[in-house]
Amino acid sequence: MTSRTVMGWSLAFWVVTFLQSNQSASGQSGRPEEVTFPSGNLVLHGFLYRPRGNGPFPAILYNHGSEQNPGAKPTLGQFFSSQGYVFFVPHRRGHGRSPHDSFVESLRAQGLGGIVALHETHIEDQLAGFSYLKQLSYVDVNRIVVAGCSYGGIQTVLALEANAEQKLGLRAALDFAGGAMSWRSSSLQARMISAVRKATIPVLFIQAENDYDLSPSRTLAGELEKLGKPYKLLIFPPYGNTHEEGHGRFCGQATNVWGPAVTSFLDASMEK
Amino acid sequence: MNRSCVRFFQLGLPLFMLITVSNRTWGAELTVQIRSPKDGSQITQEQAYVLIGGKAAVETGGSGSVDIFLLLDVSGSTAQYAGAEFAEFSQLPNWYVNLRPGKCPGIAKAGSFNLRNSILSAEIVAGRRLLGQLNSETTRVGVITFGEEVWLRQPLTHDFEQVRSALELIYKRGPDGGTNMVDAIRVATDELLGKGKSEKYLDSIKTLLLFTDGFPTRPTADCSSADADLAINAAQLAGKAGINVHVFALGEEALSNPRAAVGIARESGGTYTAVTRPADVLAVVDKISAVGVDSIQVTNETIQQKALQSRLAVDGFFASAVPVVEGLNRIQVLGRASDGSIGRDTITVHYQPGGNRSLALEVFLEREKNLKLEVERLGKSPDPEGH
Repeated sequence: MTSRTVMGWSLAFWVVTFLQSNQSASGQSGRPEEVTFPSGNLVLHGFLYRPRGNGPFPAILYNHGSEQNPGAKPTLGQFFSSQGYVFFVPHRRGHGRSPHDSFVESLRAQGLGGIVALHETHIEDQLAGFSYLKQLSYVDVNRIVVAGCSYGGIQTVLALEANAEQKLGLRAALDFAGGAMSWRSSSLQARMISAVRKATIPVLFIQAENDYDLSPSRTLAGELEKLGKPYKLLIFPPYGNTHEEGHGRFCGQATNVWGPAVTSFLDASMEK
Repeated sequence: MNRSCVRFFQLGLPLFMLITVSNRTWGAELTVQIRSPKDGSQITQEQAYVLIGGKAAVETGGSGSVDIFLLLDVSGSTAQYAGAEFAEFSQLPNWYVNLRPGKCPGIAKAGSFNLRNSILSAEIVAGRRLLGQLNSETTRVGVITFGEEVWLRQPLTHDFEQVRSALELIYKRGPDGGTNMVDAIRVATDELLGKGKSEKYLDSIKTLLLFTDGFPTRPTADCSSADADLAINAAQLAGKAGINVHVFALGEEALSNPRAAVGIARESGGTYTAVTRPADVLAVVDKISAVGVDSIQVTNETIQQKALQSRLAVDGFFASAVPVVEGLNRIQVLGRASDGSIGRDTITVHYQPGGNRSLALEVFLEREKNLKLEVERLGKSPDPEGH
């Protein structure tokens, strides 16, 4: 190998490495990019994954659960970006890298009594995240899906109502175990039922059989059934040995279990 | 001192102090003032407790007077059962009213309800409970009701007997119609700003306490979310005028559709309190503060004993029964503001056992016992949310 050849290979290696690192920094190659966006007077943080290429790509707005530090959801981010979706995890106020909010804390301190009020406050952050996602040049604004797990599943159901009333243009919704830990709150039940009745897009309800409570998915799917609206209800076999494993771990980790069904649902929803 | 400690004092501590100081609101600090007894007082009485009275408030440079408007929801759905019987209504005759389905879809069920133990009664009892704790010398109270229409039932006054009479009349009129929250906030804002029938007090601390069992519906509205937006907008304007709206959401209808209530509280700088069983509003109505004070702690530092009973009212006035021993007693009142800051005041009193019993102390302890009993009589609130 001549010195010129060695130099050529070195240059090529350097260029490839530079391009890869550049792509990683902007959320490509399965590594998330931390971004900020405004919600009211606050600047919230979130993590963004994007597939390779220039787009425009369909996108998933993912509502995290009630965990204090939601992080970047790498398993989900890598799964959906590998399927060709931009995957965005906004951190709502009072969570993760987003700022503390004393009003939100006062609602949280009221437990189940204040749960719907807390959701009404947080949905503004979700919609702010949606606005941010829509203005990204590589996102196809006509193919955005809302999704979420547990508390984020409740947010997803509330987004169905916002989508109908504000004509947001969402294409589909993925509700992983929304309300499974708080369904005993009658006001939350009433609120979710009221929201789901307004759905104008297909909804996929997903839970593992050993989740805390399967009633939310069954009840909400039943409401859509009565109204003749498009939905799919998937109850998977138990995942792990505990309720927690069947709840949070199932939606956050079990892409090998629910992945094919979800992508099939998304493909069908995007075609319409 | 090791190297990391030195580095903390060189860099970390100044940074920490800078952050702490910059988060404070300059010019608004918590002031605690013991008004009675005077520092250095000689107290001779039978009981080994001293009644301490004073005021705690986040000072904003005004006169310290407080104006409170009670906004009571008298919509048709407030005829519904509050979840418990009220002792002070037990002597009244049963009064059944029929609740028809509302214009806008909700979860209130049609039927016949006894007004004696209704949500409306809970609001009235809560209003009376507040009046018993406020200081009429520096605090004014007014009352507005909102149902299908909005009525100024009582302009701001220092005469709490007039307010009690207004509350009695509200019960006699009974519930009616929709939930015109929007106009209620607007009228109350005008009253507090001196644009209505109430006398104008420029520098008073201004607060609205809004009780509702539903969501906003104006008579001319189409049951869309526009009413909620208008109510939030009205509260935002109130907030800009320095008026905080503290909202009590009573029962399932309000808790399952709280967008307006939450927005009203948040946009005005007030608080939102979820009350699953409406009767329990009695237990929480005096937990809020118009003057930014979360709590007080009264201690006899000489014997390291805390007060037997303490009461902090919505307008910042406090009273407390503190144990004392013969001789000198150093008594401290420590206040904690909503922003976490603290303020304190300390006095020294000389106690001598003997003489007469302190009537003021007995009245205070008796009143505290009754306030506690009033809540205990309601029974245990079902958990969670009545199910």
